[in-house]
Amino acid sequence: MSRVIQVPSTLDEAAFETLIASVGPLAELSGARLLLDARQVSWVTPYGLLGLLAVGHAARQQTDLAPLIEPPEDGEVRSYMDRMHFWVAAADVFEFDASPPKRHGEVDTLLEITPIRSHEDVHRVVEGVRDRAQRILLNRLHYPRPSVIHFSVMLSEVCQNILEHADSIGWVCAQRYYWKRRLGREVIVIAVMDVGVGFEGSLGSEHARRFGESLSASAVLEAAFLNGESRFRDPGRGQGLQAIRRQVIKWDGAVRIRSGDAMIARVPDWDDASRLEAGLPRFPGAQVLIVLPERVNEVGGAP
Amino acid sequence: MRQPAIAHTELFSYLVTRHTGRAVRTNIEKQLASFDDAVLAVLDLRGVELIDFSCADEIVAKLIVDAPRQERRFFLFRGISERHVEPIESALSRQGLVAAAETLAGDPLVLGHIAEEFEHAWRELWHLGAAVPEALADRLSLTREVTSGLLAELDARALVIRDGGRYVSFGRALRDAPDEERRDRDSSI
Repeated sequence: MSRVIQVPSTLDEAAFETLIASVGPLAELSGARLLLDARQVSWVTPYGLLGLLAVGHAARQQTDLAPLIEPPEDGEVRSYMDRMHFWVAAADVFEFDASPPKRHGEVDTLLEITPIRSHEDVHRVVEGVRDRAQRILLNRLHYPRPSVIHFSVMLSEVCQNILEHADSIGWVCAQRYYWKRRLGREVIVIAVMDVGVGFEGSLGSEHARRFGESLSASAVLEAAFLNGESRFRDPGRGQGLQAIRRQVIKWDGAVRIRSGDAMIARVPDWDDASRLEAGLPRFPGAQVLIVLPERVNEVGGAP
Repeated sequence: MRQPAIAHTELFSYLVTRHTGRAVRTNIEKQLASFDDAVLAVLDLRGVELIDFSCADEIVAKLIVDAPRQERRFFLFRGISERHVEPIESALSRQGLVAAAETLAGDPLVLGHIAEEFEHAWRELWHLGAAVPEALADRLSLTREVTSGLLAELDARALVIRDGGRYVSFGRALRDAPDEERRDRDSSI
């Protein structure tokens, strides 16, 4: 028995909510093979790409059946997914008719989809992204030279979150865009996802053990994101998210963390997103979106 | 107290992830365990392209926290540049720790959580090389009692080396160390 889910035609962070709402509670998938029908997808973001992998992986964990995926029909979207190495990562998640991988010249991709399973993967990401990060941060976003180091450190910490807290595979990717309508500036978008125990599973259990009370996903996210709390008793833990938040604030960027049925965000003045949401469709693991905007001077031009 | 032995360690490349940090720290601790007396561990970060917050915690903060109290262990982090400062400061400050450092240009630098008057006394002692409390009190325009208190605290936090009635900076201890001792105890990680 298959369960067919239509993937929204514009697949971004908002559509990810629609997608997982369509899938419904994972426990109800038992025995049913998921088929993600992405044929109508005409636009997909890094968050959307990782969202497909996350939904597929979560379904596979639940059912022990490799889900199926129908690739987009739109040539540009297919080409973008090739360039982002989506199908390479998808081969470990979905069953699909493989098309031969195509080689593409490097364009705006900052970091192709990279699975994070071990600390070696984090090293590979951090060391491999340096030249492209430097070119984009300095030449396109007009950030100062030390930003390349700060960016790499941020990437390292956000990827380590998967290793330290998720107890599961995760993925990272990043892309440069020109957000013409939304911001009128170039941005770097970073997406990081896993389908592990999530913030509730990681931090909530320790909190309950310590204080004898359970916390909601939104309360756990606040504790981790705003107060640097960690499941570990070691006082050196919990710095990573705090450091990411501080750096994003310095660059006037946005960061959004979704886990369980809640989402918390650092929202810059240029955005009107929510800062905290609860009651979202429940989904395992943690899903992180970071947006770093081009730096502008006070009169609105590049510095 | 006899002058401490010197243990040099050069660190390289990308210090990222807790796993890497733990491996580096374990190596340093093994090296330090081979000393049966006081030791000044000099960790040279000139070759470190970047260090993340997790690695800074695993290497810098945990080395200081885990240093055996009964054995005198001193740490000097050398070759510190702008790209290293924030993760190390964050890791130390989070636990109220402090570490002695030296910039790429050779300037003394205290990283972490320390009150201004202690940092000032530490810098003055660094410039003097070694001093008894009276001499440092003159430089600081403080009373002997106040200066002794500052030095006692710096000693307690292993930021200076107490040698009888005088206090020695790490810079002086390095200059005074015999060459063969430095060569014998060098390692790269």
